[in-house]
This record gives sequence, structure tokens and C-alpha cells, in this order.
Amino acid sequence: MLSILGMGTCHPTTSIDNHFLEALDVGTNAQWIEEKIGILERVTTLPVDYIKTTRNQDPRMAREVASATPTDLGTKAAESALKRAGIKATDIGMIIVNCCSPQQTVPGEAVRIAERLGINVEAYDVYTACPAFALHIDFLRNFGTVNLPEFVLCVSTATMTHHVNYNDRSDGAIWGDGAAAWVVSSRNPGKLEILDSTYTADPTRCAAVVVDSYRFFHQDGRAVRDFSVRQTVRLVKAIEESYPIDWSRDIFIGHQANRTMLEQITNNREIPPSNHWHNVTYLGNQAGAGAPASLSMNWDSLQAGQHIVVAVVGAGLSWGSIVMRVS
Amino acid sequence: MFLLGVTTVSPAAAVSDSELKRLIRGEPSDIAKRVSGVSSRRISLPFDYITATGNSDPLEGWKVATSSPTSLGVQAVRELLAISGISIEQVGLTLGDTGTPYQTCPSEAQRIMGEFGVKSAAFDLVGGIGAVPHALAVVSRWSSERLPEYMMYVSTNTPSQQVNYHEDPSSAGLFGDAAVALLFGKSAGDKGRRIKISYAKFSPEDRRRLPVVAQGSVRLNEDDLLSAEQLSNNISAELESLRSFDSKLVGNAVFIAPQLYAAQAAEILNRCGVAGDRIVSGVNDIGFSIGASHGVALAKVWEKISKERPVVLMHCGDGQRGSVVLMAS
Repeated sequence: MLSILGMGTCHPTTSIDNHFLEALDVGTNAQWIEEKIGILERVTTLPVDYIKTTRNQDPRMAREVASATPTDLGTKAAESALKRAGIKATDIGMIIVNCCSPQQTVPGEAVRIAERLGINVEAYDVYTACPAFALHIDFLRNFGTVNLPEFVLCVSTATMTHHVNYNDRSDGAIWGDGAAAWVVSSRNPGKLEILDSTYTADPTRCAAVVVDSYRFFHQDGRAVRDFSVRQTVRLVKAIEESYPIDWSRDIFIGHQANRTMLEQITNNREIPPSNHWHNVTYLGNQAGAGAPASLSMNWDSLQAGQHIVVAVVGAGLSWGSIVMRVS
Repeated sequence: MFLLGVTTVSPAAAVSDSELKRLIRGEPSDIAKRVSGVSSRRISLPFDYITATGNSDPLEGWKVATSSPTSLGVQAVRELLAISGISIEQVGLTLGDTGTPYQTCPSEAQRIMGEFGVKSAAFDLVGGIGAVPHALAVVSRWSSERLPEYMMYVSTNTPSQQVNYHEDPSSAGLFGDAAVALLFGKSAGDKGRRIKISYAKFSPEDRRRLPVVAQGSVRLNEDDLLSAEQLSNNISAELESLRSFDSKLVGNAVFIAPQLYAAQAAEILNRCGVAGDRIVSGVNDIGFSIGASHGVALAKVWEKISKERPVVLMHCGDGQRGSVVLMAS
């Protein structure tokens, strides 16, 4: 059985509120953003003056002015996860990384983070954008218990604001930057035992969410929102049917796309607000880092015996789930 | 899992060394010939476009390109299905790899499968310049109970579209475009030959960083390449590991060397007793197609793999060195 021994996060400190977006005068206002997507602030590695003056019309300029790269954020999140797990970087035997905004494509993001951590280990990218938390756990389960090194480091990192067209009234409100990391072991017990995981995709709908390599994020917003709610509800229902989930004790974490969507899901499954962990309200959608970051930010609140139910969806279209038990 | 088939495709347009001189400005570089042994490269950009612009802006190159990474990958998969006799609906998992994506989201595997209009699990397993041997090493460690009956791996790259031909003669000489598709199965039935991954091991090497493709133009800096001594040490260490696995292997096997270093590695292998007719290049007539190059070479020797004549895929140069042995079962 796999366990998660420690988790960490890293987010930029620059925050954009809804009034800033309203002041860009692109046809939106603070009230509309709050009502539609429930996000009040989002964090970015871009300087606010750069956004204000250029609206990021050439995303290739974003990396020139950004305060951090995906590698920077991923490395700091990894260091935090290692500290929590109580191990050294040199104890890690393998690194897998998910990044949907890489600044180089060869070598992969995992190789760059390994280099920053100063370790020579097997390092490669395992990638599906937003459902990365479920994919990575499900991917590692394919190895069985004997074919993995003692400690595996997983990272999901993205600077999606570098791909935002701030002249678009919706996209600027959605995205934030951030990274999350988690240490997995098949040989050492950890705070979170992995009971189950799933991952799959429907590539016939892969054009619904796109990030052009040198250009912008774009999506079929309504279709993606409907898919996200329906698919997340299906994932949670399936878990409820297989495990003794008690929403007065157990915790739900969904893809941090927007709070309104998450509330539709929790209302459907009658999950009380106290048992729904999220961070999208003040960080924005951090792609594959959002859900694991939510869990990491609540690490010290985990209670023995609790089930943690993660259901994540995203580009591909792809989706997956994890059921964990706090030991 | 067994390896049931391999196919590779490249654009039709080939650039010989003499044609290359007309496309670049300034003196040609000898890196492609000396290090990799490239004498011709397949590209997906029109010659007149390169002559006029040098492809200084890859975004403009994409507009006139004859292929994309996705279209090459789709073509490789179609050919793989045709030779394997299975339908796309039977493929339960697709793994993708590209170093030259038009889009960073969704994954290349999802874009390729999207073209076929089927719902199935797909994600990217990105291995850089050692993508194919690395993917084989990963799959060889997976437990078959959790895997579907059939799965595919596709590595597809169009680095020619990110070469600045006027400013970077080294990259212009080195890179070419190709896609490779591999089919894995839990069993072969009577439709295919079974190739077993008999040995797969990767270890850290003494060199980690090889920035080949940035967002923008590709750039190959000679300072980032392994020295001849480092390459020799890596290959010697791999041969030693292979001898420990099977004392007769090095004397019998066909070798697919680290493809970025195909020419230099062939000389080292020769000195270690591997005859030239047992060394296969995936770059000499295609150019270096990043992760697909090992697969281009593998397709050339696929029909010759037997119990007596295994194939060794070697990799090094990006922080990891390793070998995978394919043998008919």
C-alpha cells in the first residue's frame, strides 16, 4: 500500500483582487466575478504593473518579467514536502512532475527540479494538467510495491497566469500560480494511507481546454463547467458506494476550478462546508496544484480515522480520484 | 507486458548536407556529423519559407508546416494499428511524449487519441532525449494486473519547426522530425511477435543538464554535450552492467546507442568489440528527432530481433544513463 508521508506548497505573494480586474475595464466587475465563480483573489508571479499596462498580450514576455518560474515554485514546494516527511532530498529515489506551463520542454520539468534539489535520480514528467494528483497516485500504483524506490517525490507546478489574456473578462479571473508536492512511499507508513485511486480520460473532448505553447489559455467554459460538476459528482458517488464515507467526519477536496462549481458539487452530495477543504477563493485555480495544495494546507488538521476523498477533473478531458485514510 | 509492434513516420522532405548549406547563413557546423552522424534530415517546413525567413519565429513556422507533432503521431498510430491487426478501441491506455508541443495542455497523448474519436485513458510520460528506452523501462516495472490488454506509447517531435536556420547552423544540421508508436500487450496471441523486455535499468550519471528545446527556438550548445571521455565512461559502465546480466549479450546483441551521440558512441562501441554491423542509427538519415530517435532505429531492426539476436537500447546525456534489452520470447 502506498502512503503519503508529507506534503508542501509554494505560492507567489502577489495577489490580484476583483477590483483590480474591474479596473482593467474589460467588461467585468467585482460583483459579477464573485457571483459567477466565487473567487475573490488570485496569486500571480507577474508584476501587477505588467498586467495593467500590457494585459499580457504577448505571453512570451511574461517569463521575462515573472518573479518565479514553475521550477522555482515546484522546488520550494518539494523542499517543504521533504521537511514535513522528515527525509532529506538525497533519500528520494524518483521524481515525477506535472507542469502545464513549462519554460523548457527538453529536458522535462522533473529534471530541472531534481537539479535544483541537487539529486541525481530518475526524473520524468507524468502529465495530464489539472487531475495530476489522481494521475500520479494511480500511476505509482502500477508499479506495485516492489518496483518503486523507497521514497518518490511528486510535484505539480504551474504559472498559468503567464498564459492568461487579461483582455478576456473571464480568464483573468480564474487563474492563479502555484505548486504542490507530496512524498510517497510503498515501504514506510505515512500520515495518509492510499486506499484507492482512479484515472481515465475522454480525448474526444480534448479541444475543450487548451493552452497554446506560446499563446493563451482558452476553453469552452460552459461545457467544461457542466462536465466538471457532473463528473466530480459521479466520482464522489462511486466512492460513497465503495467506502464507508461519513461526511460529518470525512473530508472532500475537488479540483480548484472555482468555488461556485465546488459548492454545486458539495450541495449535491450533502457535504457540509466544514468538511469541504478548498483554497480557490483566495489563490485562484492553480491547475494540478490546487487540490493537493488544499490538502497540504490542512495537513495539521488531519484526524486519525478520517477518509480524505479527492475527486479531480480537467483538460483532456480527464479525471480521477483518490481515497485516503488518515493513520 | 510484451512489445508487439513499432512503427515510425517522418515528413517526406529531406535536406541533404549540400542542400543545408543553401538554407543556413554562415559556416556549417560539424556537430551533427561528428557527434551524431547525421547526413540527411527530414523536415516539415517548406524550403522557400526557410530560405526567406530562416524560421526566426517558430509561430510563423507552425503556420506553414506540413506536419504537426500530433499529425505525425496519428500517422504512426494508424500504421501501428494496421500492422498489428487491432482496432483503436482495443487500446486501453495511451502514453504520449513530445518535446515540441503546439499546446502544453492537453497532453500529446490526449490530442492524438482525440483525433481517433475514442474515449480511453491517456496521459504523457515525457522522457526527453531518452524517451523510448525510458518508457520501456517504466512499463517493464509495471504490474500487469492493473493494465489493459493493449496499450500504446507515442513519441513525436518536430524540432525542425523550432530551428532558427539563419542563426543556428548546429541545430539546423542536427534536428529532424519523426514520430514513433509502440504497441504493448499482455499477450500476443497469434497476431504478433512477442518481444520481452528482458532487462531495464537506469542509474544517475555524472551529467544532468542538456537544454535542447526551450519555449521558442531549439538550441544546441556544444558546452552542454557530454565530453568524449564522459560518453566513453557511460558506455563502458553500461556494457559492464549488461555483461553482469548476461555474459554473452554484448557479443550477440544489436545496439541502439544514445542517439544524440550516435556517431561518437558507435566508435566507442567498436573499440569495445561491437562490430559496426551490429550498431543501428536512428538519426543518420532522419536527423535527431529527440525522443523518437531510438524508436526510428528500433523500427529498422524490429524484424531481426530473436532470442539469439537481442537489441540493446542505450541512453545517457541528460542525467540518467541506462539500458533496455529487447529479446524475442
